Amino acid sequence: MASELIQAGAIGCPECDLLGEIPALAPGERARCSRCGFLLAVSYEDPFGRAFSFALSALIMLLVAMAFPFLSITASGISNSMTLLQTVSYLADYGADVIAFLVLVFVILVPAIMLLLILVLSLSLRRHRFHPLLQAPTRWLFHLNAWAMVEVFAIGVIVSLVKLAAMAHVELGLSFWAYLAFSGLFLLAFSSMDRLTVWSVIDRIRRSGT
Amino acid sequence: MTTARAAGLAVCHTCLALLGSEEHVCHRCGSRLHERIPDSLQRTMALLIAAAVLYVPANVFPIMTTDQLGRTEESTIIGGVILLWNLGSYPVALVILVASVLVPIGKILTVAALCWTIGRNTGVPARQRTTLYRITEFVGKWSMVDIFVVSILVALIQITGIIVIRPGGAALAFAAVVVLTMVAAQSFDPRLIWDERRDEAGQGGRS
Ligand SMILES: [Zn+2]
Ligand SMILES: [Zn+2]
Repeated sequence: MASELIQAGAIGCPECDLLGEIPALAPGERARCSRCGFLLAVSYEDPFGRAFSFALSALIMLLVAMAFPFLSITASGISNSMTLLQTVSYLADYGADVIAFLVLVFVILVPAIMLLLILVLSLSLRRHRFHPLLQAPTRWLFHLNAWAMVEVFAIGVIVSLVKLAAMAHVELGLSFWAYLAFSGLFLLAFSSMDRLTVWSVIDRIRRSGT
Repeated sequence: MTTARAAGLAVCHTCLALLGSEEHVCHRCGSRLHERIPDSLQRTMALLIAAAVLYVPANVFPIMTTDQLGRTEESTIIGGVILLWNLGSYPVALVILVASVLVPIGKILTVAALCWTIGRNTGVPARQRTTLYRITEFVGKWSMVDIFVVSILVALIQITGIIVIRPGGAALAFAAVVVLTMVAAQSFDPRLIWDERRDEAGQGGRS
């Protein structure tokens, strides 16, 4: 079944414009442009089942990351903890509204929207259904990815810990580990949604519907 | 080897469908269809210049201010790197140096150089220039690291109630530099790199 998800046929490379043929891909195989090396397609065994499970786990981890203390700090005998959303709200309190908004968008909003899109789309395509209203959101999914910065934020947290180590004692909360798990699962969920697979299957559903 | 353009076709950048180059909207995904990104070079250069201009305040002004026991300390991006280095946190100092200094400057210069090579016979192979383009696209978002560090420090230090860290004016300028360079890399059409190669081969082409 997996090998027919991407139909063999003519294809154009979006980065160098070369025309080529895409072969039938066995699960685990990838197709690259013969001239510029652009990754055209990756084939997975049951890609939508895979995407759905990764996206669902990622979303649960994101909710956990937002619900519990992210980092705890002890300085001069005072101990306190903060949540993920407080990183955003404190920025806004100090007049850095735009920065607060960007952090919220890149670190939480864009990834959360992408995960919801992956959940709906993978469930629907797996059941061989595609509502016309899903067309635009499916398109957005592939363009939003450039603005999801979950792994960058994870590195940012680690850098902050090192910076603070000199002046205070910082402890990682449960949410920090949940966020790390979320960032890994998020990357796996999105990479399962191979765009050529997605659009080929949508094509097929439409044709069988008419 | 034939290109889509030579065959009178255009490739959809969202779903990779092949369509007639006179089409305006992709049949499969509904994206607006362009044979090439319109005014790609002008748009990319304009965004790069804006990013380069904003990079000046991003480094001159403090990225954060620390108030401690009535003493106010301002630190710039470079100041933060030097401080970390002196504290002996070499790996983290390097992360910030790479993400906040080398990547933005390198990215602006690389994409500008790529724009410059279009239509000129520079002898740099197209495959290598494409690789450079992909690297700049890939590393772009990593520059946001320092912005995230500032936002975490601001929040975390506040809850101790002793020290106050405020985000500085440079943070906004720097975030704008990152976003502008990312949009600039996206406006650059890598197919232009290969078009000229085809012209060299004497097959000619519309533009
Ligand atoms: Zn190619
Ligand atoms: Zn399309």
